[in-house]
Amino acid sequence: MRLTAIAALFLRAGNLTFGGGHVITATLQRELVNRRRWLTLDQYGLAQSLAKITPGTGILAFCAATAWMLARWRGAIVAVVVASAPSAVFAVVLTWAFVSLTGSRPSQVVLAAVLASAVGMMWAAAWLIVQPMLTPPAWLRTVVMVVGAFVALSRWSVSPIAILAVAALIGAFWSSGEAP
Amino acid sequence: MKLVLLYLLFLKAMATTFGGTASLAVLREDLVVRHGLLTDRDLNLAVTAGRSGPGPNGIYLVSVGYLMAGVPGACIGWLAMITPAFVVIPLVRIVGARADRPRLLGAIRASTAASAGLLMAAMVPIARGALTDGLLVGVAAASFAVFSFTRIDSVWVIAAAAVTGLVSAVVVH
Repeated sequence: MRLTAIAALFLRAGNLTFGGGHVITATLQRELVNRRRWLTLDQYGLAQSLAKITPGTGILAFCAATAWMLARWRGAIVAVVVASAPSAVFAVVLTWAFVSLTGSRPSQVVLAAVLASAVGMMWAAAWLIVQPMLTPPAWLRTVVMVVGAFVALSRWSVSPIAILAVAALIGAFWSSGEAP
Repeated sequence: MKLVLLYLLFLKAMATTFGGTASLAVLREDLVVRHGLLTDRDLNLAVTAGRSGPGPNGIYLVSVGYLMAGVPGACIGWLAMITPAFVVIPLVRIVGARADRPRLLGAIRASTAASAGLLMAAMVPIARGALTDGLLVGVAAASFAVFSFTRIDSVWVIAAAAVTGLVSAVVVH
């Protein structure tokens, strides 16, 4: 497998798609499995499952896993770098632009509206994490974890890492008939 | 602030959570609450900048790094964002065959649910600072609804919020 071909694919999937991981995953599935047939559906599924249990940004773990299957470490490093570096440069430019907006009164109002929108979207992001886990048989455990974590942080200021560790421990022993 | 320390703080946030934005609660605890190196408004601005462009959700870490230490800070944010991704490779080699074990799945799903609760809790003080009048509450509510229940891209939601703010600035102010 040529590294340039891998780089070109991950460069496009990682940087020309808006909407975060789900959109990038869908783009890569179409290219890797359906169009180019570089991976089988089973390989793709394994990479997706393992990316979910890898800490950090899941989509980058997914890129590393699939590219490792194609070209081992060289492929993984190339894929992760090209899938994220151009977006990172763009993020810096946007951050600079947003900071520059704080000069005039109209700019401040526009920025305030944009920041309010971000608050709404972050609440939505939390909702989108929870929503698929609110179905039987796991819904009760999900509600307990969400409410418990919310209260532990906002009311008692417990360390987020401690909260996540306790949640993982409880989850390991509170079986709800997990299906992969 | 030393870049190595910044990298370690960023890495701690990324390596202890699942999902790009789930690290926000850990990062806020360290940078805003404990060390006072960043304000809630700065953090919100970084998230907004990250959401406004293409790429993974964790890209906001680059914006946080830029706000704290300029371009070198942005590079540190990017490095901390990509580092945990390589953990998946030994997983593919070693534990791939065990990924469907119920206990492991239960632990992952419970901590993922908890990370959503943490994200909500972290957003409460940020929202208090950002939603200061009725218009802004309306923008936040509309953004929540559009982002949750439609397939409209986040960049359009942010663009619509900017236009709303611009119209408000022209009409009211």
